[in-house]
Amino acid sequence: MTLEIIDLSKKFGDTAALDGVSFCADSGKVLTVIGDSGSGKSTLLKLLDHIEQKDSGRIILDGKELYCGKDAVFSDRLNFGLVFQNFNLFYPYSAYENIMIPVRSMVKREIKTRGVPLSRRKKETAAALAEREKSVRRLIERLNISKIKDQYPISLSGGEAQRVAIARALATDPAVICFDEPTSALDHKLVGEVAEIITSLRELDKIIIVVTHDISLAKKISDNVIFMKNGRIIESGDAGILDDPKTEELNDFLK
Amino acid sequence: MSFIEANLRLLDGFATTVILFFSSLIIAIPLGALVCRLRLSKIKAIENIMRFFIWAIRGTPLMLQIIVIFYVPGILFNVRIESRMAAAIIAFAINYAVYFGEIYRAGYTSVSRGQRDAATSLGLSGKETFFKILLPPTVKKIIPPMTNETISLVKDTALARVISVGEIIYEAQKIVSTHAIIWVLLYTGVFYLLFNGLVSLISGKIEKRLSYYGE
Repeated sequence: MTLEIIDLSKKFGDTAALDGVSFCADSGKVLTVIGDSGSGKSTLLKLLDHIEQKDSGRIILDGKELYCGKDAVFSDRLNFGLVFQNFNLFYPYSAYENIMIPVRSMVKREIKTRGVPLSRRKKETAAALAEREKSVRRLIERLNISKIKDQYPISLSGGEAQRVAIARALATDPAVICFDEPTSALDHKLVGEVAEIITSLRELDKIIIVVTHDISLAKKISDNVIFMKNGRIIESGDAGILDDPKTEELNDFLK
Repeated sequence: MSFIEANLRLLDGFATTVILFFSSLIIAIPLGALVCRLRLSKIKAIENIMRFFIWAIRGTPLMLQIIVIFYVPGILFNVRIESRMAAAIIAFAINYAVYFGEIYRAGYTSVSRGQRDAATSLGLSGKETFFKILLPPTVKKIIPPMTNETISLVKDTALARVISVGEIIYEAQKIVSTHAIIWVLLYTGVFYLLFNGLVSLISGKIEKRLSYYGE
């Protein structure tokens, strides 16, 4: 599966947050987007997930252009799972509920879209949910959150909250999983653990996009790298550019 | 006046106060949601009308509003509000809806943007986002200020006497002035203390129930 971004732009007032950004990302690989604050990295993720609307440009997943028309937004958005910088877990719900809320919402919408008659809706929803619950359980095992699944976000440590946020983002089985500054809200000691989790997602054959300004993390996880400044891509290539930058800007950033 | 007679009169006043309080509260709670919704409207004209309305209601005495609602429709439009009690309830409900609406607005807008973004990102519908994600923390945030306002409403019901609604203080004052019996004032004070004690107790229980999660 390939994600193709063509000429993506977004302005906030007169400021160009993203200015003609184009790149490709493949499944089973980690694409790291690096750059200083304000370089447009986080805006990029918000546009992919349609939390912010793009001004122009195209987002194409596996040959299909996304976000064409209002009706497509809900279904297209589910192709992206976003792990927020501060995790944004829903406070009033347990870790397990946090993971199940989007799953239930998705199943309900699927059943409705399929036009299942009202009389059979409840039964079919229950059956579809039971099926989904199985994969959620596997996800919980995989991310090692079985012991904390009944806890509320307030009592979770940073690392635990992040694992729950990852499980929640993966629960709807998106093709692309995006991380916004995955190490910034965590103790530095946890960087290795985060890197391990992210790279382990390659096995799931997802397209993995990680936005970070943490160079040590980028070096641990990247297959490909994009360096952004002032909303534009300055340099891109494989992980090698982190050790051997071609542009002065990236060289300065890495110092 | 016998002890029993005085008690019966006060009991009448007590019943009136309770009816005033509960009726106003039951109307003001949902009406406040409407005030909040309109105040947060993206249509500038509606937002400005609500700003003006909130300014007018908050900026004038509740007593004046009760008088206006009871007398003005009859004088201007020949539509008299026959029941004094109803006029008082309408005035309380509108006044408190404005205060409640502003409390809801403060609670709602203080729920972090991240919660909204996460709900949007996870594909939740607008309805699901509001009812499942934004409403519970809003309710939690507004319980303490709502308790304050509710306690104020209990005490403000005494203003209904301005249009001769026989609430408890009205009845008590009549007894004091005509029969020179003072204990009824103490009785009245204790009634307010107990009533507001009950309001605080209920709000404390709700707060405790919601304390299992934090932001």
